[in-house]
Amino acid sequence: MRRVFKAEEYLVKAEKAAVVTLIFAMVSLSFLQVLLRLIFHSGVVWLDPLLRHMVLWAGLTGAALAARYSHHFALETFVKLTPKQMQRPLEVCADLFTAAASALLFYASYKFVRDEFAAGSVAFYINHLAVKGGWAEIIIPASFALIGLHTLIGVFRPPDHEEGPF
Amino acid sequence: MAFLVLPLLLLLAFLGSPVFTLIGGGAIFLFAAEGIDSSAVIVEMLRLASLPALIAIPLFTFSGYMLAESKAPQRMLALAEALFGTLPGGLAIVALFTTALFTAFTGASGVTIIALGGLLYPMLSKQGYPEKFTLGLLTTTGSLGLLFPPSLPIILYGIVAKIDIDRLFRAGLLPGALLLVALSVYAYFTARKAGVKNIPFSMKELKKSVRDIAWELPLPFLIIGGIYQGLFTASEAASVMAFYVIVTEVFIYKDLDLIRDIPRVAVKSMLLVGAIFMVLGTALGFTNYLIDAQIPDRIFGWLHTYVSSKVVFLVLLNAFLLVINMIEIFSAIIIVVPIIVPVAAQYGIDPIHLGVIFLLNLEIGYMLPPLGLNLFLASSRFHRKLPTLYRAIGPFLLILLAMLALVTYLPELSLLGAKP
Repeated sequence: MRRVFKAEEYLVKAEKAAVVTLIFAMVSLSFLQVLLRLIFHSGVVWLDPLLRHMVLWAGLTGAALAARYSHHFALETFVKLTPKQMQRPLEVCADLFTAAASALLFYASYKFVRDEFAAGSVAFYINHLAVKGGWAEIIIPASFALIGLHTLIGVFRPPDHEEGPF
Repeated sequence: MAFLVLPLLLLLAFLGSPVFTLIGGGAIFLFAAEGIDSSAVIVEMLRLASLPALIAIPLFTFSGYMLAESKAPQRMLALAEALFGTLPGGLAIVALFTTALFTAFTGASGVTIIALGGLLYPMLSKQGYPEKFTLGLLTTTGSLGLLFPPSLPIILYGIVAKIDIDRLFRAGLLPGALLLVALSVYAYFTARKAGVKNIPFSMKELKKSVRDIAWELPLPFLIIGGIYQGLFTASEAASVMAFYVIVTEVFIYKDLDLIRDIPRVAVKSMLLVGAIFMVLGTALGFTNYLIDAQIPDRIFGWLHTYVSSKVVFLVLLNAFLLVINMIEIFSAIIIVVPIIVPVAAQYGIDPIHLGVIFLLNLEIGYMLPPLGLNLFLASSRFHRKLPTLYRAIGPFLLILLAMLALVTYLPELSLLGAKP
């Protein structure tokens, strides 16, 4: 199990790096766009769709990380009211359901992305370069897979490993 | 089948399953029951990449977290104290205004009580404010300012209800300001009754605090003014603010380190954004199903047989929203708003007016006993038992509820500012 935790740690590092890169790119590119509009009354046409997809990627990668650090919105108040020895089994129940729901959502988004590739749809253009819909949207199945994975590993993770990234 | 699945989902909700799994799983089940392929849920989710205003959520959250981690709260308090500390009840009024501004800029995720509450509590106690008042005030401030731009719940409401966010920003201003004034009046009388000493005015202190905050001071004017003047949209304002905050906190004040702190803060803010996006993404499919199945019409039809008057509907709506918002804040906006907007429209309620009612309910829900989030935050921050806080917030709760009644039955308060 230790190797699994170690491997997950690398995965989490990669996810964090992706989130940080995306945020920096979003801040600088969107600020550039504002400056272009205010000063030169123009803008780069393909920047807007690119930024919108960056928002999707950053948000869903953040969602994967949120699964690792148990940050997803949930009604935790009622579980906290139960006796101490009941809390862990209840948590495991919720985790297993989360993993199952993530698997369902992964399968749904896998089918969706597969169809997008088959249809050859284009998400947006960067000048003449067409960005394939399938590639732009592949983060959706990826994020559900990561959420499921982090949640399943979380079932075995001892509580002292969960102090969060800060 | 449905009568089996709904109780199951409710049970799982009470067991603490994440909201997005309930909605996502529920949506896949509902679509399957209609013979629609589950990938349709994902088609709706992809709308996350086509909403132009959505970028405001990660950028404002990121900027807010940066401000919260910097020393901006201390500088802000020092300036406000130097300006208003000399008035009767001045320090309490300072607390109200600074926390409102801070909550608006940090997205009301509870950081206000953590970041500013800890600073204000000893200041207020030292000045001689009664303990009960101080606790009540600081618990209330955790969500005060929700109605001011660029607060995250307003943006989310605008996106979900498909209303112009800039108009919603303008609509919230007057009710938000009135609420601050009402609470300030209460603070003034409490301070006078308790015989609180005023802080003597010092020009030297004022000059020093202005010099200290000189780089951050233009930010609210730039962002709020820029949006009200139509200089830029909410999402452009988010971009300007993120850039401005990075430059001032990293390069001018050097409160945050570009390598050590900023990536950590970025990740931290994206955990919240990721959690919001997951609920939003799965709910887009779910609520679309509800609308296609004409659930809002059916709710209206059923409700209308019992409740024909708009006023009674609003009373019921407020009671319902208070309970929902007390339990889960962001999920409440995402799931409930698409259903109640069409129902309320049939009762002749303007969606902008409904937005202000909803957000004010949210503000109160945060502090509503027994489960409001502010109460738990204040309890752990100030080491007080929950029942102590329940008693402490009483008068504040009454003022907020009176304000809610005013906003609910005088739509003009909200609609005056929102005229296009």
